[in-house]
Amino acid sequence: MRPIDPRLLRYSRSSRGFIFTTVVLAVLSAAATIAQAWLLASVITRFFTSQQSFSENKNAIIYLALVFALRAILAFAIDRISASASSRMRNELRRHVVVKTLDSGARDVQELGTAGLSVLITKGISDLDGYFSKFLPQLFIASIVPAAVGITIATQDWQAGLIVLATIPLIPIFGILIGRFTASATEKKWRSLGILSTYFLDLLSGLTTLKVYGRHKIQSTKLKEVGDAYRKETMGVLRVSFLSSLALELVATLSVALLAVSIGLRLVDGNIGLQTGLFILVIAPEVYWPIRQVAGYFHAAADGLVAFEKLFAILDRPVVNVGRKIEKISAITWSEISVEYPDRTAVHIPSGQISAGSIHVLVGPSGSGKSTLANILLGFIKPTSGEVILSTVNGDISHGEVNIEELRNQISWLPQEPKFPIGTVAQILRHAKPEATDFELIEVLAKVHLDIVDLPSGLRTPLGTLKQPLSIGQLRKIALARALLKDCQLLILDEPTASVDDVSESVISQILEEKAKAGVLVLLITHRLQMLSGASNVTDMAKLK
Amino acid sequence: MRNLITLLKPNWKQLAFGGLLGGLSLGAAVGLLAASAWLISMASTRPPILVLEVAIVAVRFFGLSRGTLKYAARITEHDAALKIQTSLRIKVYEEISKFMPATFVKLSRGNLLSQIINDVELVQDLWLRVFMPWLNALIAGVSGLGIIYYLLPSAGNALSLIFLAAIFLIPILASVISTPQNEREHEGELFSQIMQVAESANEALIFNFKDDLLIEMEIAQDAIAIAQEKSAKRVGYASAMHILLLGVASLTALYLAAKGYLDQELAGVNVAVIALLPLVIFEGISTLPAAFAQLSKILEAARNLEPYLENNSSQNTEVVSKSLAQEVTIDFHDVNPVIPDANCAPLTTTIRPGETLIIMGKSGSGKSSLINSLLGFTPFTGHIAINNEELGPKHEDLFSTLLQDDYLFATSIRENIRIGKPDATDIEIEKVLEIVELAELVKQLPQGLDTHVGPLGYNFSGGEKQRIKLARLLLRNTPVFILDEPFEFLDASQVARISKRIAGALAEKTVIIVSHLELDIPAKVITLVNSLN
Repeated sequence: MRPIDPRLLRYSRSSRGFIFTTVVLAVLSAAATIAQAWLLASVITRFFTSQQSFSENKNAIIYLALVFALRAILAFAIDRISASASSRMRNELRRHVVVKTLDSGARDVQELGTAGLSVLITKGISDLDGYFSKFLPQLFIASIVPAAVGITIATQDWQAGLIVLATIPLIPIFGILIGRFTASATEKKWRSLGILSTYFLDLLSGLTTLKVYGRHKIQSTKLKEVGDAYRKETMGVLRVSFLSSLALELVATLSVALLAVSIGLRLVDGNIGLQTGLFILVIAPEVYWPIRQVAGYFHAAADGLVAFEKLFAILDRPVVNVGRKIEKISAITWSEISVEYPDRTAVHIPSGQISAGSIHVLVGPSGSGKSTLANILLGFIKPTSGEVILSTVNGDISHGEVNIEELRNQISWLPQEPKFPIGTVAQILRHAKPEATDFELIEVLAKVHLDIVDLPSGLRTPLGTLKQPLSIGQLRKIALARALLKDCQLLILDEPTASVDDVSESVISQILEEKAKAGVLVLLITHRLQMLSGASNVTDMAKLK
Repeated sequence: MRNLITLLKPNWKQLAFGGLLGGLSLGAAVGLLAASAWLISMASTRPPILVLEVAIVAVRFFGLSRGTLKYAARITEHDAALKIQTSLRIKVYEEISKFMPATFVKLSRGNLLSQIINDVELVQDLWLRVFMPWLNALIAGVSGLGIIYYLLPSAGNALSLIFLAAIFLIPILASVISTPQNEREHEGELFSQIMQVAESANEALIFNFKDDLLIEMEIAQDAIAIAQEKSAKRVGYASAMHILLLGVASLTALYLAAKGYLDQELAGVNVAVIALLPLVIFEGISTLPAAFAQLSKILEAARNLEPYLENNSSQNTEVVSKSLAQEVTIDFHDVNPVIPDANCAPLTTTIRPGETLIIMGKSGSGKSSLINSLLGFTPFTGHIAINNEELGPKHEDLFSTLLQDDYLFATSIRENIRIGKPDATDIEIEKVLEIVELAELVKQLPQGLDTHVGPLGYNFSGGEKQRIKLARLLLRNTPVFILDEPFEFLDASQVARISKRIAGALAEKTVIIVSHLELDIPAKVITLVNSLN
């Protein structure tokens, strides 16, 4: 967790101009603050020692009013600029992450889960606001203003300057010492916070199940236990992390007190003037204020910073999209493949081949890794061992060497659990074939036994929203239609008959035979043995065991 | 709002104590400046050193106490806020579970659930980040103004007016003017867009709708950016107003201090005290613009949670004496679930203990709705009788149900299965795992029953998850078992074996199975037809 990550500047172009503007504004602010203290001290001194009236100091008062006005404008500008820059920087970062996530397909989803990834990209990046809009500008202010004010003090009174000089380094030293101690603690807290809200979400998501099992009441007690445990852990962390601000606060206020007493004593001896004394008294807190603010904002930003590492893990992943072009594929052959997953037994796939004109059927009991082969062919998973070879007119190419984006353009797929973006039935289907006419769409839906009149608004029926009115079976039929519509060289169907009772196996077999005759390589994944008839090629996952 | 305040009750004293400590800490800053200003002014008249002794001690005391008080304040406030947070979560959970199932079905689709969770987190800021800083600023202001009033009442009065204007107007300016009511809405929109990206990333790569997803996301992002721009402007105005009012206060203090001194109402050594105190009195207000900019967002979250915070005492209060029947006969008489776009023939049939009813039919023919009617989730016409009594809440505990969207929790296999029977031993669990043919697999797993059913159950295949759910159900001991599509994602031979074993295990029970597969077990089979399809 470094205060400024150079990668940030790389992924966020807005940040450079923003940092420059912030520095300019910080210098102006420092000048205004010094002027304000100087004017106040001189006016007060003339009131007290020369018994001057308010109107006798008209000029100084007008200057003072102008300085306040300038500070008001600067305050507006800093708030305004840092907030909109923060919003821009976060949006840029989010765009980069989403593009990267889309490119890497299943990987991030697999590692973080759909909800985890979405929370990271939305809330995780939103939480960086504290870092972008507060911490980052303050960091620059803190590196300019204290020095400027400290030098000004030293020019007025070298003894006071010495006190300031001696205490300033104490602040970062304390900060670093205690910050080190809390860095790991913050991370721990963040993790347990994550666990707590995931736990709460999990509980709410499964409420129907808890209810039918009559277990929903007991969970309140559990929620209290988890909440209390979390509170105790968090308070333990906070006790330590607030220590750093306590130390900063103490150094700051004690040195102001030290200055006041030393100035007071030297005034008695007549070694220093009242105006200088008052000036130093007013300006001294400004030395420490920006540094204390940095520390304060750091705690607010630290929560956000934990997300940084996860985000950069996604962003820094290399893009490999330079593979070889592919021509017409005549066959796909794979040797014995194994894939290792964390936390579960490895999947082994016996060798096999899909050749043009025939249907390859992959059968096996649930959990035997049938979908894994599909994911390997689609380029979502890399096998731990074994290889897939594509035979083309230009000879054999290993699957790992082809341009995966181009290969995917040649594949159509029915996933086991299809997901759609928000859109109408027609829009979703046209993703597979943009130029398809309405008639073609209706035809392909009819092919999978989805009559257009069964859809409440026909082709314009909305999908992927809260209001989508279709049953699970109907959704799977639309996904099947989408898979059939795409012009492709390889068609992968993962459990095409699950949840759809009226698209019989014979209907599917007939459609697939047509596809195979047209030269498409077909991979059918199923657990139903009945679907075997007509298939020329079968891999039985169970055989290997 | 009222309901949120009720939640404060058990902890308000601790929260108020924290606020007082925080106020005193700012008060110490006021004291530090007042004592220092007096010390320096007095010293310039070159008095005997003894005269300064008290001021020197006061300066050191205030210098030490500021940080210490603030530390104590922060610890006290945070502890109280976390306690309140826990009670809020429990309250929301309990209310949602009361609302079951109608509201819940709506909630569980889309991102509404995660929005509730965000709302709960956001509401915490109301106390810590908005109300407490305001209270602190008020306490500090009152202590500083007290000193000024004591020294020069005219200055005390005038500065009080300016201070009151600042402490009320600045929060109002920051929170009310041009309130971006829809920022949260846009955030929700963005979350569902991102959720879509995460869910359909694979399909987007195959069917080339990557750009569509990105465009949708940009639209949501831009809407948020515009809302944030507006709120940044607001915060900027409020910050500027803070400095302007501070300027007005400073100049007023200077004017009145000079006048008071010349009119001999004020001692000369106190001129600096009065002229400088506004600087620190207004310090507490400096954090309010940013804090109050969040207020509208927080209040909106609070409003969103409102339905879950009300005390719906009408619901669930009457204690139903639960039926304790050991054997159950279910009579359906002209039963027809009330669902849109459906027109099914009403169902009339009887199932007795030891009998199994299999309900078949096309997707969309209302099979699951029939089960939901039995569970009280879907209204229906006609009559359902349990042992010749009208179906009602008292019969809830007679049923064990496998829902079509039954949920696996993000915890171990053991804990998931134990939902069926909280005190189940590993031997009992192993027995049901054997029925569903999972015992072997679990034994092979390095962590056995402790294996986590990953985030949203990712680590297991569809068929394995289905069988974990079946195992959980089989641990139950109730007279009625209802299974909605129990054999989804299983292969034919598995279905044949497992369904026979389950039929054996539930031989004495009253069983209803919804299935689109034909099952080879002794049962009465009814096929539903939706005449609209």
